[in-house]
Amino acid sequence: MARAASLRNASLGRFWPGDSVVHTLDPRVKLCSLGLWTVAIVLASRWWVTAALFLLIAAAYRAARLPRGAAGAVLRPVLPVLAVLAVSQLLFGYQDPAMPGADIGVLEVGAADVSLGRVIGAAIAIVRLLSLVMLVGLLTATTSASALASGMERLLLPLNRIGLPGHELALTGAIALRFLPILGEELEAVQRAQLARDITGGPERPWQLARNARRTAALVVPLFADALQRVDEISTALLARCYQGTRAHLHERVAPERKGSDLTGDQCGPSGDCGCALVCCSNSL
Amino acid sequence: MEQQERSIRRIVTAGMLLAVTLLLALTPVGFIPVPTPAGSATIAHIPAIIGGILEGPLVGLIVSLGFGFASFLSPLVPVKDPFVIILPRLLIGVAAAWVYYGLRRARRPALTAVLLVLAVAVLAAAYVVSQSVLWLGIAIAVLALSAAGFGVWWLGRGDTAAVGLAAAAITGSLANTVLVLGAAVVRQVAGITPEVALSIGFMQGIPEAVVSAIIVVAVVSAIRQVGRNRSKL
Repeated sequence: MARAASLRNASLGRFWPGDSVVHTLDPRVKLCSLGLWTVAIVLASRWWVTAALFLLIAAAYRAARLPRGAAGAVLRPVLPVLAVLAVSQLLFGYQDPAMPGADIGVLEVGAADVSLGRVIGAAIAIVRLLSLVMLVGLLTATTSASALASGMERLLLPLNRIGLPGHELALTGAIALRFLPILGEELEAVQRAQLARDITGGPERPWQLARNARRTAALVVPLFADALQRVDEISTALLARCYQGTRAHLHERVAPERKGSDLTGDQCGPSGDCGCALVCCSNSL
Repeated sequence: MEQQERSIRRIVTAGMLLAVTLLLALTPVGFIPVPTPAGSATIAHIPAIIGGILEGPLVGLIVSLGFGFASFLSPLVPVKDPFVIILPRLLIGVAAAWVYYGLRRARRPALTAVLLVLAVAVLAAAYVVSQSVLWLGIAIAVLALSAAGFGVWWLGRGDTAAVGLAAAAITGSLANTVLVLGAAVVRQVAGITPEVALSIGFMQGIPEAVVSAIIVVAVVSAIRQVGRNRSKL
């Protein structure tokens, strides 16, 4: 049941409100920096570049003045992965023959011969993964969902000038963020109903593939059916409000920070914009 | 008005399927326990396949892009290389849409011919694999023959629309497995050698493809009212 209760809070990461320099940066700047930083981390081939990028991220965390538990909350889920990565890198990892001291043996575990080159390679791989996880964590910790949607929308708008559907893409993202908590609640309700029928209960047994697939299908098929049925209602609501694809600052009305119930139908203005239509129809669903 | 309605419908479908993708990628519901080293197979790519089937390649592409970003941002996915996690996944919805639109109007003889050609191609691949690993080649051949036999039996029941849906779902799912693992090998992701990629591909890819086919046929048949005793598309 605890698993069912956690579904309504599906999010990319926890947002910690604040007034630091990182918090007040334009979301577009943060999104572009995330992209460039990620490419730099992935493409960096020298160890000192990887280390410098990691130190810069650590400095950004300090500048963001996040609570002490924030970095821990970001890193906790990936700790087992880091351990597996470290072991696999040490035993089977790539070893740069040009690296000085690469052949120096450090440890012998059975048939595997761990050399200094592999230890350095494992350290670089771990720092690289840590950097990427911390980078994504920093973005979601210092940027609210509505600010992210706003940044995405404004970044995509110039696409209209070259004939690409920038506004439509932004509206798609806004709908997804708006309905994520609503569908989370729906999934939770389906899970409770199936648990009551003893369809999704019991321990997980990886070898029983057909049973696991049936259990998942029992949850997911009603979720899809519900989501696709809502498509008709939302499309009708948008059409009824004469939505013409004009820009309407979707993020300000469409993506509340936590739950759909934060907004009421009273907040819908008389204009025919899509954000209003979305809020109105999602509140009435 | 008709065109405006269609355009709005596409945007809303893409948005809702994107929300389902995020929900599946960010919660344990999107992961089915399987007896492999990774421990679970994902079903978060299914909305991209359904988007491609219901509204065409563009919606499939948008939802696939969302799936790529969600995987990239998810703490449950350890690899953080966009060339492995985001770029190859763009083709999931597009491949599913192409296969579905290619087979949509196909009749029973055409579908049977496609199935047989696919079976022969997989048998040839199984022969090549059996030259290096005998048991793997035999396993692939048995799987291919049973899948082809099941497909022919299914077609015999008159469910051509459902067979087209299943083929699109399997193609989309295999596109995900093959392209992501291929990119992981090319980009030399830690621990993913060609042999490891091949074994992951079989152990994860086949259960994922089967589950995708089951869920996609169930969802799209329910939405579009297709099936044995219902009106055809």
